[in-house]
Amino acid sequence: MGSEKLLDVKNLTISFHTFVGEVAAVRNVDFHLKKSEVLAIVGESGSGKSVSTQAILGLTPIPPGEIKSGKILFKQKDLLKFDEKKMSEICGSRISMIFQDPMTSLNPTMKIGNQIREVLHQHTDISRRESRKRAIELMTLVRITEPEVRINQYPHELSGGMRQRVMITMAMANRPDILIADEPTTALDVTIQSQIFRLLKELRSKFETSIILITHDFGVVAGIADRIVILYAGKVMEEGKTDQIYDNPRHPYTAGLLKAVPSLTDDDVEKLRTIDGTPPFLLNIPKGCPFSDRCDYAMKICKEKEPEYIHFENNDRVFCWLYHNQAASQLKRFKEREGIFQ
Amino acid sequence: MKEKIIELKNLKKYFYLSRNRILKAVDNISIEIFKGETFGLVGESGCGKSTLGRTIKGIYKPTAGQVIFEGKDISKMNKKNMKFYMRYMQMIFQDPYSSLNPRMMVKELVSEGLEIHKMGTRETQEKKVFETLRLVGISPEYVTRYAHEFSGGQRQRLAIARALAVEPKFIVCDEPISALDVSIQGQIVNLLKELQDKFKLTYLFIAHDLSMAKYISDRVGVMYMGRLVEIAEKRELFENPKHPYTQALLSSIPIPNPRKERERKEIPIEGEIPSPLDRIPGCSFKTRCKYAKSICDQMEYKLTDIGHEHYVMCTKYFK
Repeated sequence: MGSEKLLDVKNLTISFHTFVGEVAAVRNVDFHLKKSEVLAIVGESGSGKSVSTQAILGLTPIPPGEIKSGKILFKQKDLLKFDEKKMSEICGSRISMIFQDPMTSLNPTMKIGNQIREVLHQHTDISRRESRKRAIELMTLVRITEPEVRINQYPHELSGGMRQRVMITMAMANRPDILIADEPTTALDVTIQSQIFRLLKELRSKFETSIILITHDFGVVAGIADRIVILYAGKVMEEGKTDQIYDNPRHPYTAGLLKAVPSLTDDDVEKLRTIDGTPPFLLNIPKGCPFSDRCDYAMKICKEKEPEYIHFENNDRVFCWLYHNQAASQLKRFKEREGIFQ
Repeated sequence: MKEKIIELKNLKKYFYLSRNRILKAVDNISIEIFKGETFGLVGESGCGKSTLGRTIKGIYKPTAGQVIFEGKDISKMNKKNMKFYMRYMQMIFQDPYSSLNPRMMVKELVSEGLEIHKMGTRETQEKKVFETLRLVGISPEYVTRYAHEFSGGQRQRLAIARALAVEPKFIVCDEPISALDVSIQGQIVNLLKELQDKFKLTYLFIAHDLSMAKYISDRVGVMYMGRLVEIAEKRELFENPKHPYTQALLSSIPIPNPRKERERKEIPIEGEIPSPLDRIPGCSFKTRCKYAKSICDQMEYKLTDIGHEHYVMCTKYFK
């Protein structure tokens, strides 16, 4: 794995102007992606995980959205400075995206084959005969059964899992450097979900594609991600290697989230740990740490001032006051109660 | 001694789409649900689990078979008689954004059932509303608000309050948490458990999230294409699944732990669910089953008892 950053999102702040006021959806978010790495962005609804990745492809609706600050460096070039024409050369070719609901993201009036070939024609000078051949090749690659038949079918004739495979075919058509998968299996059943993830893993190792996986499900993340970024209320709460996050979560939110999902392998738990309360309303974000209202370990300072990022080895970081040297006893309490021994 | 609260006998619900196209959403299902337990019903989308829940609640009239509630067959009753029993059976729906009337205030939402079943005077009804709201963790000062002013988790609490107000004995929970965020899901599940202990409620918990189903249920039934293929006590089912479909389904669930996840051995299940309109003779899983043999074509619909109150419908276990 190269150490060079393929994608580097720096200090990204995005707001939406609504009639009620300004909604700060993403605040000073940074993350980066290396070659052939899988980065998972985990967060609940409204945490800004989709907004921050849509900005990478220039999909933020402006207005009402506004990118207030930040840079998105793709191969050292700032995508936010690109005009529409230059951006369209990147979209679908170097960086592509698959969405949650494959029914609404495919054109219902166009045959599957034409939709896949459209992507090929857009970015390469390829003859019509060749593009048909290529489309069938790609469909075989993602294991769409009977591609010669499917190529002439419409999206409604396919099942959900097959539609998502078509989306993946389109996204992978031009061998992108980065594939952004926004909750790719949320609408699908578990057995189909595992098929899709097996396929994504396979494509990653075959083409060395870097993947950004956006999800709320800690189960799927465990199997595929190299690194995890936890978002909450538009802020990165924690970033770390996958094993690190699961074994030794540093942020109380991460720790709570991990315990809130029952696992099939666990023996009977009498009562599920929960995180009380609800995420803050993004119209008026509290002064301090956005999680402080729901945090079991909140101190006085947490409600007054935002913490700074504390960095650890391997680019790990955490956004929490517990790691301040004056909070050592509280940190010890946190680690003891959550059973973290590092 | 376990006392039956609901018994389904060969329950069928078919939808007739046109003369030759019959959708067998619920096909010959027999279950007994005992007082005070939570019966989990799992399966992939389109397997008929919601239709089953709705047929039990009386939203759909069954095509054939019986729904026996406390000894009375309610599926054949007329509306008037049924209404009396419907008070004791309530339902919580998946999407709290569409299941609550946006034009009704909280107090109207919660007291609607009380009015329909003519329970108490206006005063006692009001008291009941306050009491119920407190139970589900919503401050009674919000009685004059509307559903849109609440978050998803709170709306689901309101939906629970609506069901609870009429003092039911049995609640059908149709995927009550799948529309909610992870951190909120736990709150709702814990609330349901608390209420169950307090009021000795019986739940039919419909879910597609198997880990949640395992957490909340006492017994679990697995559905596939309108049929119940396996029932067992939850620990027995999750540790010792017998039906090839259950085995594949359980093995495809990702484990939220990277080390265990890497070791997870998946029994891949190829292909997808056939169209529910296809008429497959015998076992409906045989098109995807790796153990499929010719005798599967003649399989009868019956659950075989393999001991430990574990029932499975597969030719491998037929005696």
